[in-house]
Amino acid sequence: MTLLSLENLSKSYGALKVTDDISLRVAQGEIVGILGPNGAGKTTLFNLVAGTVQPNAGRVVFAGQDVTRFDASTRCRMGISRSFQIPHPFNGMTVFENILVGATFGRPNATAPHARAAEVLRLTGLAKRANDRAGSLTLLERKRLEMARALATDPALLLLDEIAGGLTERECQALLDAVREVHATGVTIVWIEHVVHALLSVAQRLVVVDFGVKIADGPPAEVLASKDVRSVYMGAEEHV
Amino acid sequence: MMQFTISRATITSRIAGVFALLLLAVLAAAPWWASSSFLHLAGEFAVYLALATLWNLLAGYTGLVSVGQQAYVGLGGYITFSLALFLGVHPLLAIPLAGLVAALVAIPVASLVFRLAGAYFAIGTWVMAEVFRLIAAQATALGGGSGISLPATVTKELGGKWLREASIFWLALALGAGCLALVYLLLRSRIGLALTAIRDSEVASTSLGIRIGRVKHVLYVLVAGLTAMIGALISLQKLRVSPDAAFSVNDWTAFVIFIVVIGGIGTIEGPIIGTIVYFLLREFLADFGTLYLLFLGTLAIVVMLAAPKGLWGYAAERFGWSLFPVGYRIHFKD
Repeated sequence: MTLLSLENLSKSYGALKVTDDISLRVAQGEIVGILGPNGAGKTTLFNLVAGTVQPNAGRVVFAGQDVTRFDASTRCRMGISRSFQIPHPFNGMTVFENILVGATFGRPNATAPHARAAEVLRLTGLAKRANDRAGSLTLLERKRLEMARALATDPALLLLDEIAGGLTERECQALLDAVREVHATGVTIVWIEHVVHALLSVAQRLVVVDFGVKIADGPPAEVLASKDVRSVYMGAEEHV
Repeated sequence: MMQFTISRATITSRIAGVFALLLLAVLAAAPWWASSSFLHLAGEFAVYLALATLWNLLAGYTGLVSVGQQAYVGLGGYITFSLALFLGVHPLLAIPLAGLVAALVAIPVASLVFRLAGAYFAIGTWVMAEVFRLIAAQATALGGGSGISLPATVTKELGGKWLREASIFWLALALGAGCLALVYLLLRSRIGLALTAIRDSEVASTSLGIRIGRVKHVLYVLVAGLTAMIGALISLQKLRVSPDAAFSVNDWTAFVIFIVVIGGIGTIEGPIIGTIVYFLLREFLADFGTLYLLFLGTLAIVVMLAAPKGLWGYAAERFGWSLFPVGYRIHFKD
């Protein structure tokens, strides 16, 4: 069953096309990885899905419903949740309170928000920092908090935007375990990541974006072997 | 399942709570032990504390920097006088009614000024307040441009001199403490969690499911109603309304912004500290005339540069103080 379907989405800022006629389907329960060079339009794609940005053309269909004109808060309550590449923590609130916001307002029936937030604290390994102000967190912890807050909203679709950069091998394994655990509860995940090996260890499918255009979409091994992707990602073929 | 408990108070806050209740009790008895000039000053203090607390809720938490709250101060006064003069409503009963009417007026006003954002919103609210002032100046039955005093027949309904002064003081105390308590309880509630989140990041708040537009609308209307109740009280303290005084941007907004900024915007304690500082300065420097205003301005600039979060914000960050904790602390059991 298709959970998310993007139909011919386009977004431009002036003459710059950041999303150029992208169509994409994500099935319920999938983990899809999104790759692409810096400035390829990956984060814009998330902004369009989450409702932070409105497209110039095309539709976003979620769980069979056209949500193109819905704002970000409505889409969140419907089950689309995202982490920001550049963290936006509530600096004056504690880590627990940050997560509690998602657990309280992001879920259609916000039963036992405290228990939900506590569960997310454990899952993301932030329990030790629970009562510290978000403003005192390191960058890596802020990124973890981004994922935690998004998770607290009990999403059907979780959009993760570059959460693995800068982690040690051990931290990266812990993160992957958390992603797997979330996925095992039935959450569909779309993950933008530059740390390719992290992405490959969980993604069932890879999508590659360059200059706002989708240039590849399929099983990871096939996508990485394709000529277009190799030339975009690793330079021209002769250098490889 | 994990075992955990949530705590929301601290030892400091419990002591502060007991102290606040004691202070309230002592102040409530003031008509029996204090002079009438003290009652007057304390009443004025309560008015500024309430106005600052309300403006802080609006600007400090939801970023709605209104420069036009005098619209509701003046409206509250004029409604109170209209009700008392034309409909014979008891002046004390007119206060909640003024709040209600002003809240209703604020609904269409909000839909106008909410089309503007940031600095444009600030100017828009000021323009609205000027419109209100000009309309009041046209009301010939209420004295037009020169205003009107409350006739002795109405003043008598408030009792003799002692009772009148005492009831206006009690009213000020109730409204000042009431606004503070209301804001505290509001910020501790579910809505408060949303307001604090909006204060820190609107982008993240909306992405986590908070309906920012709706929260701001409701808050604007609530604050307008309460501000009008303060305005009604002011009109009874002065026993007179006039367009220029009732809708004064200096008295009811500029000084209030000064109080909130030097005290600490976006905190409950900030407006309290700010009001104390403002009254101390005013009492000691009032004789210096224009120099006093220059000093206020300079102080505001210095505080903004040296401690952008205000005096309380600086202390809270440095020493971790919190007299009115609105947060949550989680403790895992294992």
